Amino acid sequence: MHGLRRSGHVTERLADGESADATLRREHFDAIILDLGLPRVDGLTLLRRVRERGDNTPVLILSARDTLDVRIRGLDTGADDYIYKPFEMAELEARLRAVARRVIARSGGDVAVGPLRLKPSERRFYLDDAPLELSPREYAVLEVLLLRHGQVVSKAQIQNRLSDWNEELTEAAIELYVHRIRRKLSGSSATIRTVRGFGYLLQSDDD
Amino acid sequence: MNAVPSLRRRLLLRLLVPLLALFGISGVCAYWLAVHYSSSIYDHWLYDSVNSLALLVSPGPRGAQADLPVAVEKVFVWDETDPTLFNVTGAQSGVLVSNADLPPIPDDAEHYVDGFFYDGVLADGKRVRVAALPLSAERAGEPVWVKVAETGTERADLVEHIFLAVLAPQLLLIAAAFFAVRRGVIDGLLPLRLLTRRLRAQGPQALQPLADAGVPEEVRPLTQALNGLLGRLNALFDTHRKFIADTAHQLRTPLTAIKLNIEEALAETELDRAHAHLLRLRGSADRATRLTTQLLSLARAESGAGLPGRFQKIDLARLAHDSGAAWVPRALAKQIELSLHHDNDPVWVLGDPLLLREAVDNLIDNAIQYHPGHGQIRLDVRATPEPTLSVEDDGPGIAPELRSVVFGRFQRGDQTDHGGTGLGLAIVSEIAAAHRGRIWLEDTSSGRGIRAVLGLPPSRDS
Repeated sequence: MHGLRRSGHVTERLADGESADATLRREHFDAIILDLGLPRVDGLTLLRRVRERGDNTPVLILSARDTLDVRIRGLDTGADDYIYKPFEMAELEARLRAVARRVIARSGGDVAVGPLRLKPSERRFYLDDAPLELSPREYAVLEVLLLRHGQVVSKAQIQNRLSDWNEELTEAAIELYVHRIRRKLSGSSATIRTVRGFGYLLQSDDD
Repeated sequence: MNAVPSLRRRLLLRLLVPLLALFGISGVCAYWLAVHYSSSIYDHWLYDSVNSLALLVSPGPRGAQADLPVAVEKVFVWDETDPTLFNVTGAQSGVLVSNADLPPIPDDAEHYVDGFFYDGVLADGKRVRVAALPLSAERAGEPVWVKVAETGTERADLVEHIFLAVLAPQLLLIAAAFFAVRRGVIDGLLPLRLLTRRLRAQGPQALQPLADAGVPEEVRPLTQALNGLLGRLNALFDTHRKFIADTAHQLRTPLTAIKLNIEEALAETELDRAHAHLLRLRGSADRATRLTTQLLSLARAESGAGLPGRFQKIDLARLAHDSGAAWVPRALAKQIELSLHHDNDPVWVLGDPLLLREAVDNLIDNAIQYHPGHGQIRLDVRATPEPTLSVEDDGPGIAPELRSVVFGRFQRGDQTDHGGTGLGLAIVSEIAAAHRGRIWLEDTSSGRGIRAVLGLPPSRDS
């Protein structure tokens, strides 16, 4: 709470599910950090109510490490991400940023990592304010990496994202797209790191 | 009756039911024997009597004649309770001598030597047993029927006497058996009551094994099993006591540092100089947090043992991928490259997904924690010869003589402080045991660092 305030967030603490529900009906928040063990109305019920109202505020679930089932149900109910207790403040902020980025991108807002900026309204990336020429598939790959910035993105996740094209993409094809994107990013501080066996990670120097 | 009836009632029931059945059978037999013997004795006597009476019959001038002196008749009739009745009748002369009218011989009379036996009823309604002997005309001058009869009173008395003589001791025997068993069971169970008292008297602080003295041979296996259990419990209690003491000690270290740094920070008047203390304070708080987290995982790993009901089929390669991916940013922050190597086929094992994830997390966490930075950590998942997941680093390694020690709680491979809790490998070891798998440490091919290998039994239906 204090940590988040210090890093410039405005926070409000809602101590039980009932009052949280009431407040969420009245006000708009950029993100919700939801502890599943809330008194009165439990976290999952609250989350279901929020989503049933069509409220798409990003929700980050805070859970103990031993509650896999609850976590999975949380994600199924419409949470955007989760974080285990105890956590590092830096990790919480990174997750919040990632969640917020995805939501912002969904609603058409700009998202930036280092010198790389995504303008979803134009379906275009900018590198150091210069438009980046990308094929539609390269665009999709870079979009996945940018929206999951700070996390490793597996080839399977990229394949999922590209499955909109109605054809199976081989891993070799994904490697080819990543190779092409790298060439286009070369010279900037944004790089795509290969994490062998896991996937790719978008990095920028100011991380 | 209860599902588990009392031992006493069960023994008595088991003993009494067959005894009573035996008693019934022997009663029927005794009655039959009594009837058989008494009738054969009395029939024999009756036949002798009819033969004796026949001796008095001789051929006379007009057919047969019977000479029955008064003295003989008295001897003959003699018995008062069961008077002997007789009747000698010639075919022509009619009744020669008689003291009663006896029923005529029926068609189904029982043949015996030269004569017959039959049962009949007198005019006054008394039931009689009759022996009849026919005498030929050559023998007696004319055909003669000699009949002797007696009422059944004496026979019935004899049957009764034999019957009682056989059955009465049996009844006594059954009653005696009943009380003997009752007493025996109560006495036999006395040592168990004493054992119970001795067990009740024990406090949980120090569990004493039960001495063999006074324990019946049959109960020894039970007390020996109990002693084994008590021994294991004692060992467990000792481990837990030591563990709690160790835990308190381990927690006190960061807490002392926290207190010290707070005091030093408070003593500083300038914020900049207090900052250094606050940084150290954060480090100590991190350590305490980490320690409690690890303690919780250890408790979970321990309680996870013996819960194969929660096991499910898990792809070890997928697990390594999911767990490893989450650690990549933290590894990169220390300039360590984390990589995963496996064939594309799934490696199926049977296990608890949470516990296995915990084990893999701890192995990777350890590798990163004790790594000085700038290096490699590689995860390998193999299906043969058994499903294994290994975590290999190029860090400082662990000296061979310490490798068996580091699986103990609060044991670290070296004494330098890397912020490790010394619980990671203990947790992995508990989880491996819960899955009937194993964890071991071995040299790497490069000779630098260490490789930790988690081996698990394969899922059967893979």
